[in-house]
Amino acid sequence: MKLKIALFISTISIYTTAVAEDTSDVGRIVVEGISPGNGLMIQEETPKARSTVTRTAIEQKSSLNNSFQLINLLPGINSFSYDATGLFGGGVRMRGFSSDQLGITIDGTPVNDAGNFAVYPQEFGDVENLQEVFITQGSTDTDAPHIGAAGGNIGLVTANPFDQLRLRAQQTLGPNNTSKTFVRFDSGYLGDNRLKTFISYSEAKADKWKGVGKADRKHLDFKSVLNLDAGSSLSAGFLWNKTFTHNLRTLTQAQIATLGRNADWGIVAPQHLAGNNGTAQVEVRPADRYYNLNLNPFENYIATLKGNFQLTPTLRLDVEPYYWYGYGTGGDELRTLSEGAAGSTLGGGIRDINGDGDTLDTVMIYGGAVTKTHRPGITFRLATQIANHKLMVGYWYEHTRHSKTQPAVLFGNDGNSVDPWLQNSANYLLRQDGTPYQGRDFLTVSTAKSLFLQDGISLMNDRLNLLLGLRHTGISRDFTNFASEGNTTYHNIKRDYFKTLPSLGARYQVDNEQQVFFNVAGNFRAPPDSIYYGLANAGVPINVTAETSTNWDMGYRLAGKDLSVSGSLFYIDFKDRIASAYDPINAISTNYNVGNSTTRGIELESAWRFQPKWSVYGSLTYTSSRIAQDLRTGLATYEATAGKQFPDVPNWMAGAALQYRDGPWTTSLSAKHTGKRYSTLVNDESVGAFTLFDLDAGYRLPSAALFRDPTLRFNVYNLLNTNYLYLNSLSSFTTRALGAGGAAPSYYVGAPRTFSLMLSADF
Amino acid sequence: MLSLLLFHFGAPAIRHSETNSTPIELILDSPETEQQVAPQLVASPEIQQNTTHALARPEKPVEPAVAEPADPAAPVRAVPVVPELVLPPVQASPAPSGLAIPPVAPSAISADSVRNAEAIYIGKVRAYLQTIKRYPTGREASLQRPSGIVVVWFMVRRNGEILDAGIETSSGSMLLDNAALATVRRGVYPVFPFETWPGKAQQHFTVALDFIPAQ
Repeated sequence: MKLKIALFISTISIYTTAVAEDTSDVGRIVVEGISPGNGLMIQEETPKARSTVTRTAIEQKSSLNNSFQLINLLPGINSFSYDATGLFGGGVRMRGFSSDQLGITIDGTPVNDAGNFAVYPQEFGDVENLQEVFITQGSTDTDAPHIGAAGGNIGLVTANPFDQLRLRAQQTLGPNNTSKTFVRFDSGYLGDNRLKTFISYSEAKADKWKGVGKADRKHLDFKSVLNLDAGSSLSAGFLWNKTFTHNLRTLTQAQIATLGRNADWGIVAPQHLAGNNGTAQVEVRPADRYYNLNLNPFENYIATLKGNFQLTPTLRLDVEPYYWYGYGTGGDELRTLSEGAAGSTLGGGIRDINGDGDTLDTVMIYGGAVTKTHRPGITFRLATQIANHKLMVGYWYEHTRHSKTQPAVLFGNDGNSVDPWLQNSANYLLRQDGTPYQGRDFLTVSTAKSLFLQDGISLMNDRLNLLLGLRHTGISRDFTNFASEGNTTYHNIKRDYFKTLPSLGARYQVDNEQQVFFNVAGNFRAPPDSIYYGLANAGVPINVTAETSTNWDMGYRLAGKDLSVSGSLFYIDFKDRIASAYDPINAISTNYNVGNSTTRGIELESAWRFQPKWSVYGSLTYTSSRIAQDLRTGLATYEATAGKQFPDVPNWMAGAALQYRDGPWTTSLSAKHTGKRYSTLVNDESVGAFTLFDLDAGYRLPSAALFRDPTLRFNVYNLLNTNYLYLNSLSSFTTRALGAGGAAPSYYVGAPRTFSLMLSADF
Repeated sequence: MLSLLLFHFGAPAIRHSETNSTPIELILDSPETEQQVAPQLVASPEIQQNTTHALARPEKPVEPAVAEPADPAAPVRAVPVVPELVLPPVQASPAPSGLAIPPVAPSAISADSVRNAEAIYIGKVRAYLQTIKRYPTGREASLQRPSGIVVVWFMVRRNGEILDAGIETSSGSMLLDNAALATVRRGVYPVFPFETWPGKAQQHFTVALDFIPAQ
């Protein structure tokens, strides 16, 4: 039964029908999206700096990897992963901005944490189902649903279901008990060639490469596409992820020197003191804590629905609702809690924890921040073609309920907590009045909105293209602090942060192969909700505005037959950076706007097929980012940050991949050089440059009996076993390492050489 | 003034092929004419040799055999084989735009060689479009990954200049329609060889661009 969209709106085309005459038919030309560099680059034409990694490159890497590892070779990108597999998490910096200053979407749905914009790449879709990752360095797309993107956006695109019926099974194995089992079923086009669906399930695990503990990840992906008439379609997607991970320990440079690189959390379960009624037992946490109470359990799901309706050939309506849910806890959850009034002034104090009959003791407990987020949202988009203008207007709306609590539960002498997920309130330690202890109790209700308008103008027979964008974007925060042991007064703060952000891009096609482009875009990042925590404690008025940045690009691209080049010069003017400092107006140390910075640099990437079977990809990035002002730490005291480089932004980075493809063989040797980086705002500690080499090889076996397209893949991480460190920080940094009042920054120790072997077959 | 600059109408127009009257075939292609023309082909090589030189005799504009829509069933206006009627070859080198190019006497060129030359030219256009074709890029293209066939029509002058272009059949995706139109519009087409499309100042072409997203 044919489905028809019965909406006929007359097209706005002023064109007089030509006199009918004989026509010469040039025939059919297939235009396929090609990626020179074997998937590490595409022939980009958008008038702004942009890079893409396609499925061709994604499928060469280990199936355990997370999306940030896949984009590591792209210009402007500095990505890191806590271990080789990517299961433990990681992050990324783009033009110096960290992942909590970038906007990340999966199929257009935003995935940054609603409160502090953090992203956790191990929670994204399985890379087996990932079609493409695109990045726009520096500029946030006009229609992108972000309110925390100061440095651009990253988009993940899930693959569509396969056209034919197929069952795919993959098994990956590696040292450190690394294993991933992945199964995907594609229904193929069902009846009338309109509906196709896939569903996949995977279980992955890996031991920590140092210390004791492991990561355990279970994941489900689902996508269904229904093609309607005249280019319209409906699609539904669902992603479910559940991870249970033991954290890797970060170390300061001093600890690495004394304890060694492989130092990790303690492996001896802390023992409770025998309770004694009438005397105070004071338990003390071991210096190196305990691995099994240092966890990161997190569960999330994302449901998306997309209705794309081609109302007429020149009018298109998109309606895209989504729902995001996340629940989890994480960090070093081995804490102590005091019984009685010492532990709390609420609810009559904390009840007897160790059961010895008195309320005099301080007991070790398992507790940490629990976040629970419900995030429904919807994007409407209307696009039309009027003469040489491609117009788009749209609206994004999202309503988030984000609660943060901090309950506590017991753990036994065997080192197991009674409730690692902290999800059963029956386990919570209570106050005398029966209410649970909460180290904090916040509820942030945020409403994000964006009204956007974009005009793509084609001039001079499409040799000149202009892209004008305008968006009015912002968020309304409604923050409530409920009485908790962290802050005993109830109060509520409401704040709005809205900005109007224009952008202009222009691309001129010099000849068939060369183009030049120019782009300027305004971005903004609303303050994270953590600014309310500190101020809530002091009960003072909020004095924080949003961060803003203006990104300028000027670039050149060459799309030749065998050689593609893309390069841009950039300049970013970043204002009102939010950091912890002394607010003289309110006379307290808190998070507020500390000043400006500028970032300038060059990004280059190139792909060259120099032989029929050989190609090489290279990228080069130079970044110079300078803090403009000193940082105020007291009424008359400052830290000397003016003129200093931003931490964790190396001056030089380079990526290269040498690829060989011949029949069933695909091999790639890749290298990423990361230059020296500073670790503190005053640049008094740094971490050295390093180069990491990876080897990826794949071999397609001949199909046999039941097995179609069996493939063997071998991936080696850190081929030369290089020693390296990653700075443990996002958008906030240690101010100073040395001297009085300094704090040593902590690092993730880079994972050593490891490998994985994967066998895949279709049925 | 700005609006004149930024808004130029006439593109992209969507014209659905079913609303057109039946396209007119080149007379030379109709079966009946083939038989009548064939015996005359024998005589043409000699004529062609003579036409390679410019002559002092002033050209006589000759009504081309396909000036107006003709009933394919009607007898062909004979392709006159008049040995002495030779015209200077119409080199389709850049003539000043807008100037009417004197039509070539059909007698000077055989139907076969015209078709061959046209096929060669179409082949060149095809090969050229193969080098400049591009799948659309950008956030929309990445998220939608459209696929489909766009049929684009375009008018090219004898001097290779593109006169106009539009959408014959939409693919159902504005991204693809625009990408197809942009590819065709940006093109710099070769000059028509003199024997192709005799008597026409421009020629109407169609091309079907089949877009497939990267796999």
